[in-house]
Amino acid sequence: MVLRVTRAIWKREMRKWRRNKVQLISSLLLPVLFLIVIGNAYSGTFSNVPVAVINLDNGIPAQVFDDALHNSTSLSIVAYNISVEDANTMIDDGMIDGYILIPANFSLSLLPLPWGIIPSESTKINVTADNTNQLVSQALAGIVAQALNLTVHDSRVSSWFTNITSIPYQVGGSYINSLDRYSTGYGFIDFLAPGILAMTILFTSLFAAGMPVILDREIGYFDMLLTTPSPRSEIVLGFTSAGVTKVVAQATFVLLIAVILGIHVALTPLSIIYIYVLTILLALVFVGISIALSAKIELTAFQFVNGLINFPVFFLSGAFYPVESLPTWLRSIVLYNPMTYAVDGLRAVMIKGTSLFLVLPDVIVVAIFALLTQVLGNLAFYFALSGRKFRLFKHQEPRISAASV
Amino acid sequence: MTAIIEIVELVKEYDGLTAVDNVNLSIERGEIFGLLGPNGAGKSTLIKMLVTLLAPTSGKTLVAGFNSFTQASDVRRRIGYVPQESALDARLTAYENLELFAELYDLPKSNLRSKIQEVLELVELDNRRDDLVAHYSGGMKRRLEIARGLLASPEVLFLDEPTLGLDPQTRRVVWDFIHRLQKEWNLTILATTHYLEEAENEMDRVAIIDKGRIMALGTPSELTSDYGRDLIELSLKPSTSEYTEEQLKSKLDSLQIGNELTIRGLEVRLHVKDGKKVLPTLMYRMESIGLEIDSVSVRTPSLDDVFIKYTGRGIREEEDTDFAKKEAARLMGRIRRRI
Repeated sequence: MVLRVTRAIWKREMRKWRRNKVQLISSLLLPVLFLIVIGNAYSGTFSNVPVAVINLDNGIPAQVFDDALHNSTSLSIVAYNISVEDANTMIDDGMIDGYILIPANFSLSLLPLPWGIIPSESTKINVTADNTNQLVSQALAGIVAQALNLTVHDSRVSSWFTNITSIPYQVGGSYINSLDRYSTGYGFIDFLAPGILAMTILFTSLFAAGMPVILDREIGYFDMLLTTPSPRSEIVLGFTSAGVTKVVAQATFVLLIAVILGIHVALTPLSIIYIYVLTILLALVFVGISIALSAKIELTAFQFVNGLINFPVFFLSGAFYPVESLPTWLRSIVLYNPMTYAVDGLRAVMIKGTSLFLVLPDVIVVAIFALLTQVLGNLAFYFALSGRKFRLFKHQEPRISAASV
Repeated sequence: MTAIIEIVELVKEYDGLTAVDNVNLSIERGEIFGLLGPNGAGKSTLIKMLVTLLAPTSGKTLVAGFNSFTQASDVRRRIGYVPQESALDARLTAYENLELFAELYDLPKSNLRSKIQEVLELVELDNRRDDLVAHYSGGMKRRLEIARGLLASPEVLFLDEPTLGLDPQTRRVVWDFIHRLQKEWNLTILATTHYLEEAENEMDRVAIIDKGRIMALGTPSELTSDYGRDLIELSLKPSTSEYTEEQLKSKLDSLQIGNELTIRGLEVRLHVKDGKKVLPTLMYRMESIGLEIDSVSVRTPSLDDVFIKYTGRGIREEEDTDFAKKEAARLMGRIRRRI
């Protein structure tokens, strides 16, 4: 019968997995927790950032801008028209993240000569932020720019302009008008979901494939398997397929939760097929590594080595944060990371429902990596079991068994 | 009788330490053969080479006519192995545990169920077949492991410390069962043990193994009779204490009862052939030269005495010996190196 040993081992692993309820449930919940917590925590939208506003101008535009700041849900104005010294002290004391100063000539700088004045450094809106907190201070600049954008487009400002100058109002300068390419609103969580899916695949593959082998080796169970006439490669394939099955189950759960949470997942049959193809290929990549490790390594070492692989592979793949934020010397590593291609492919398929030909290169690269690590896994077992390992320093007797003594 | 296991000049070295040192041994079909020795004597290493788990450094082993190293899969089809450490899936039922191995042994699908049922009945676990192994007692687990070893209808069953960690009653049950197997299945059984009484009572033949070498080989009664004489211990009455040890010795020597004689205070120990027959005459002659006897005992030698003779120490002292300490240090070193 075809692959009888493989199927028997797969069945055993599945039974063990199903019956370990605590492990099963927590392994399913972990990625969901990641998705919800990280997806919301790093979404890039801020609300109620505590600030102070100092308005030294009583012109209409200053008034409108002031209102826009007050109406912004991103800001919480805790102090108004205090002195600059007080505002600085409040930043020092951690009571506010920054203050916005509207200079006395701000309104006048919006008018052309001869009614107004030429804009200069002293007429610009001033944002002083607590730059020890990079993310908040960057966000503050963005929020203020948004309020300013609203101000110059406000009808009160245009009628004020025409009243004074009797010429038609025109929005001056080069203000940015950002447009969304896609009609549906996309949040950080939509960007993150494919990354979390890939992360789930990475973590589970590395852990769930090699772990049973190591536990079996430690209690002598693996030796029992080896005293049967089963082909060794079929035994390895059994553990590999069990690992991949666990990953697919977990990935399905993550996708389901993503859909329930309203995260954008393209649900056409073809894109679903592509999601699963990428999932299985990426799982094979890391299952191969996990199996290779499990041929020789002990339990405690396995956990550390896993962490060593998990961490760079995840953070240098663009799964969590755009690759563009990495310095150039790290970017070259990103190119050799199979996870990068999987994340890129998953993101394109899941979010945009991209034309599938565009994803094909990603699929091919991940497939090549999968092939390589699968060969690696089998070779590791071949060497561990036949004793023909590469010896660098010391001669040791060959051994047939994985766990000896 | 034909040899089913043939071990020829077998050597196994680990990290410069010789675990098995030039062993030659031949085991007959249908016998229960025991390897007796302290922990670290090389018993498990020897078995692991026979069951194709370890490659020998030199020499060869033949099991059922096949070389364990070069014809491993032929050997694997013909053996059952029950390892020293319990290796069962606790989250699987007894039936499921056996089912996996039935598939691994490639038993025909048609009689897979009946075969599992058969071995489960044999070890009297058929009524607990659908219970998770997690709920089994130590003895039940051991029986299930033996059942697993029997699935492939092997010619030889290897049992590494089959009764280790079991209580005396359960050990009795396991051995009764092993004897039934030998008779009903005509199995050859190679078992290791470090319980002397098991070797003495349960095995057809025994090899005493120490530091990787076979120190003695034979049936338990051969080994004990080889060792020869019975031990007679006599305790003299205090009235005899007027004699000095030298006087006592010359008096006893005059009776010409052999040289294997030790005197310590009022205790006299001597080794003689056929102690029970010698004793009445001996006592009469001692009384006649004025040595009054208080108490007397005769002991036939046990494997324990044989073991001490061949290894120079009792089997239970082995934990304290330098060798065992070195062995433990070596093992710890191996474990550390792996981490």
